[in-house]
Amino acid sequence: MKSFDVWMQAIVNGIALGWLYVLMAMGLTLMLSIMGILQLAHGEIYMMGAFLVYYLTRREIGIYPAIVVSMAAMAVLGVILERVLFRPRPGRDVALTSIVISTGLTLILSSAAVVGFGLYTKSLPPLISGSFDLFGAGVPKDRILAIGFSVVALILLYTFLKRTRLGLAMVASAQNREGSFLKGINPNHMSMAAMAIGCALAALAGALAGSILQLHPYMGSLPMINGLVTIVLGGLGSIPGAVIGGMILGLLNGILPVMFGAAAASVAPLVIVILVLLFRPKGILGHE
Amino acid sequence: MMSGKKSVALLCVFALLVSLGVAVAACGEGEEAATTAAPTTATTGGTETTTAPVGETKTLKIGGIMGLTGPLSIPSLAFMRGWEIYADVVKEAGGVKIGNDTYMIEIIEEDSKGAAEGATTAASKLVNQDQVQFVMGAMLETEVAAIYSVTQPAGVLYATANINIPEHASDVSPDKDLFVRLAVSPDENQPLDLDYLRENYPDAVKIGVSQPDIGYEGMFDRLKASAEKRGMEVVHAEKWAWGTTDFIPTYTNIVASKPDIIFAMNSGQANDQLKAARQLGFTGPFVSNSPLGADVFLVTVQDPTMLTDVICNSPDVTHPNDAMKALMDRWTAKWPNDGFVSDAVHAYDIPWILVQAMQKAGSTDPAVVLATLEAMTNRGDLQTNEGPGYMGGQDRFGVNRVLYRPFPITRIMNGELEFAGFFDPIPE
Repeated sequence: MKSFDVWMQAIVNGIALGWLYVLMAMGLTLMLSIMGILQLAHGEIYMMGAFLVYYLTRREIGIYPAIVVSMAAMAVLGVILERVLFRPRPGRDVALTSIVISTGLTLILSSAAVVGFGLYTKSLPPLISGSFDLFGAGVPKDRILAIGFSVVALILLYTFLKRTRLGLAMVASAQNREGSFLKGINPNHMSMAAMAIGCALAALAGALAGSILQLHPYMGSLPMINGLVTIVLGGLGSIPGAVIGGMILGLLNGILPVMFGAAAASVAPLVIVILVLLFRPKGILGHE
Repeated sequence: MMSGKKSVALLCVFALLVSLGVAVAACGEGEEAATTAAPTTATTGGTETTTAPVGETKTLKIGGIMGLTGPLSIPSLAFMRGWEIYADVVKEAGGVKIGNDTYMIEIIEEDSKGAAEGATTAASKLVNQDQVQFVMGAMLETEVAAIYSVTQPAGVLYATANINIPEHASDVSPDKDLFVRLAVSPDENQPLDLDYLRENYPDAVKIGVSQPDIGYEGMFDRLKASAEKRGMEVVHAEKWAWGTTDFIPTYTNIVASKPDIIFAMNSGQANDQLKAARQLGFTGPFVSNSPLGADVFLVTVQDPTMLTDVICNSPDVTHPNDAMKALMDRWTAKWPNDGFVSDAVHAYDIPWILVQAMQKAGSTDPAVVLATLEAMTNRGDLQTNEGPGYMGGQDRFGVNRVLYRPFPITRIMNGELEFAGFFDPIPE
């Protein structure tokens, strides 16, 4: 029987992981909804965002301004990628070509990272040092701060999508691309905005994870998979669904290894995804 | 909301400028990890070379296989660089004398892609196309087995560069011909670390152990037995899944068992594990018996409050011996933008040891070289960058085909490295 403090540590860690998955899933779901593409190189954007923060902090820029700069830079990179690689062309199957292009981009960016970012793993300065006592459990402060950043980012995104003209136009484009086009909404601009926001969120997730864990050229692979699992669990196109999916996955990854060991923990999330796909293929809060 | 081609064009220009800025920021940065004090020497000691060829000058081709693609690409690249430096040393010295001939060393490097299939392809190319008589390298058990399946039937001597799990099916054994491990057993340093702990932390007796779930049970049993022999006790052992990046769940259970010491068994992620242990409030001695550099702990963990009472078995690049220093000099001269990676130290040893055996045998025949190596069982029969080495393993593996050489111990205290020295392995 695990003690209460062990449970607390596992839960807090699971929530922190879950919010990182939510950040990844939000970008993926935005691009999938609005552009109709599965951007498989999203994990590499996450990695590049984290490395940019690393290099900026090495140049005596504080970690918080560096994160903001990295988000902006990755947003711009997202715009370039949309414009150059992912924009629909006549006679081109968007879904298929995007998979081919983003797979190639994954290989190019990860290989370039090995060459450009050098040998061994690197670390970002801690967001905040130390831990604090929560009902007898030692909880790392940086994880709590990462949760805070993620929640704020999600609130801002939700407000943007619900309260601004561009946000509403993006939602309309996601719901009905042709219909919104007839209403004067340029789908290409919506795609650009989706890529920019998605990449900025990936950069934020990369920086937060990079500060908690470590930086290396292949650091984006697992978060990419977790992001995908999150949107499958939560339901495509649903922000609350992404949050619920991320929390479920995060708590599973936080609690199961502690309670049942690493082997069970590695299998359980996949089993749950299969069950969701079997009994609720749209995901928990997904829609047609 | 963006609109019009003009704004798109402006955005793209801005994007290019920002991207350029990113590139500039990323360029020109020296590697932080494993960076060392500036080297001064320019020769690599120890290799018996000759500048006065007696017989014919020939080229000795040695195949080298490492996984340059995938997660092990970083140490793999360092391994290849260690080999290249050895070839450079031989070349500058005019070759090595083996028997009556003088040989230049040519290392032919292939990428296993970190997988058995790639290792098979690489070994086949080296054996069939390049016609090598010696192959070295590979870090994973699956790669080792795949390479051996190609080299043995071809009469080629294979020297593996690493083994994660001693006594694994892919490790040396009496029934495996033309196969030698020029890499130490990763658990041979466990008794040394426990002795160090007893001496420096006499009140610390309860040990919490973390191990990957890839078959470390044999090594764990040895650790447990060595601990009990010294009046210590393993109070908790936790396995983590291979590929884990977040060690908080693993260490939640370990720290909850209230150990005096945490022993992170042979893991290149021991620095991540240290962070997790300290974040969860563990303040006692933390042992990493992998080759992960103590300097890597400093640059990756960063927080000095975490970096105290950390005991490592890596080559201490801030306190290099003469051989290591010379090696580091050459690395810096050849790859000035890349910080030195200590895996090159062990890597250099492999072709060097092969050549030492060839010189002693006076032959480049693989079977003769192997037989000679097997007889080099006295301390000092072999030279390595870490000190006097020898071949052993008869008691444990049934055959003297495993490298034994001193292990370094370095302690990190308050973010500073304290080099304790090199220690000969203790038979247990």
